[in-house]
Amino acid sequence: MNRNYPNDLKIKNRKKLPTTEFMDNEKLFRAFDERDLDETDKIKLETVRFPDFSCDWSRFSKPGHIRYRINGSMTDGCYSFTVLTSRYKEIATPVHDPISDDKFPNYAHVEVRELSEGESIYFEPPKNRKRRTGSSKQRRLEYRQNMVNNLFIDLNPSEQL
Amino acid sequence: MLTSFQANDIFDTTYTQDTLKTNAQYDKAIYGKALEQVTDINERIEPFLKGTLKESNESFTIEIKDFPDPAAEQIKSSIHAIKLPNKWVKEGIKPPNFLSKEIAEQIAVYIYTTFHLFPNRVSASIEEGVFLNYRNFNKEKDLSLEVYNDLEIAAIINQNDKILKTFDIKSKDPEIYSQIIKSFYE
Repeated sequence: MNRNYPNDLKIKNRKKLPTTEFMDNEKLFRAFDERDLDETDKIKLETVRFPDFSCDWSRFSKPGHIRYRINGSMTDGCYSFTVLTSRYKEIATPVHDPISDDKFPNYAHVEVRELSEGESIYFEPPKNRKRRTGSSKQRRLEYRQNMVNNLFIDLNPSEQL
Repeated sequence: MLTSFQANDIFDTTYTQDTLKTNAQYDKAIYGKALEQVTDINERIEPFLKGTLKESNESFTIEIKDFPDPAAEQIKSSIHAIKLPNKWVKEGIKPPNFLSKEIAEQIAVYIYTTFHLFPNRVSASIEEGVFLNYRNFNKEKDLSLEVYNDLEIAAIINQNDKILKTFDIKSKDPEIYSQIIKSFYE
């Protein structure tokens, strides 16, 4: 492990938290690079993934910590959106998913997972649940666009911490 | 590159030899310099226009055969040239497949030829398929359209960070695109 590795990200015997712990105004951090920005410096819609994408929970991490991850880069930027945004139209919900890795442990790791219709935002969809057949592409595109509309860039690519 | 204005204005016209020699617009469009001789016009014009020049005693008629619209060709080639960013390859994202590119190409060319709209951005989508973006600068609207590798199609219109309309495009009837473009411009 890198000797500068953020202490906040280490597991330190802490337990995984339930979905009910997420507060609406808390943030979820996600990494991006220069190529994810359009000519007006907004995140391109086509680079936003859904469902089941990884983030870091602001309660346990800072924006710059997203650079410490597998395939991460020390020049990555970071954008954030709120838990409320991640639960747009109850299409998905954040699930705490700490990573116990020797090189890149991450207690703050969260997966935003797709909900089936009728499932509560406090339900925890299982990891790698097969995509529902008939799940509308229109619904997913709307979810991604809403995220682009409501995200905030916390750290620009190559910006010093 | 010739514009459609020049093509319509010049090539569907019969010119006298005298006009050909002196018409500056023609010279500029075809050669970019003064036309000194017209005797070898076919040889000079054919590779460029894919058309022919017929010569009679006093006039020349240019017949255009399957003259490709450069803008439509540009749209097609930009879609077929789409590549996946390296970081997505590492994540196991699949590139747009041949059929999604073919359909995206047909849609983009239809929108161009029918509504004269040129895509602002053409790229791969992280959701595996082709992404097309159109921008209405006057109304600050964005139309984004995705053709996925499973050949489903979805579109969304956004204005000033607000979602206006979304579409699941299941119909093969091009009328759906008229409705989308109407929403994009109203």
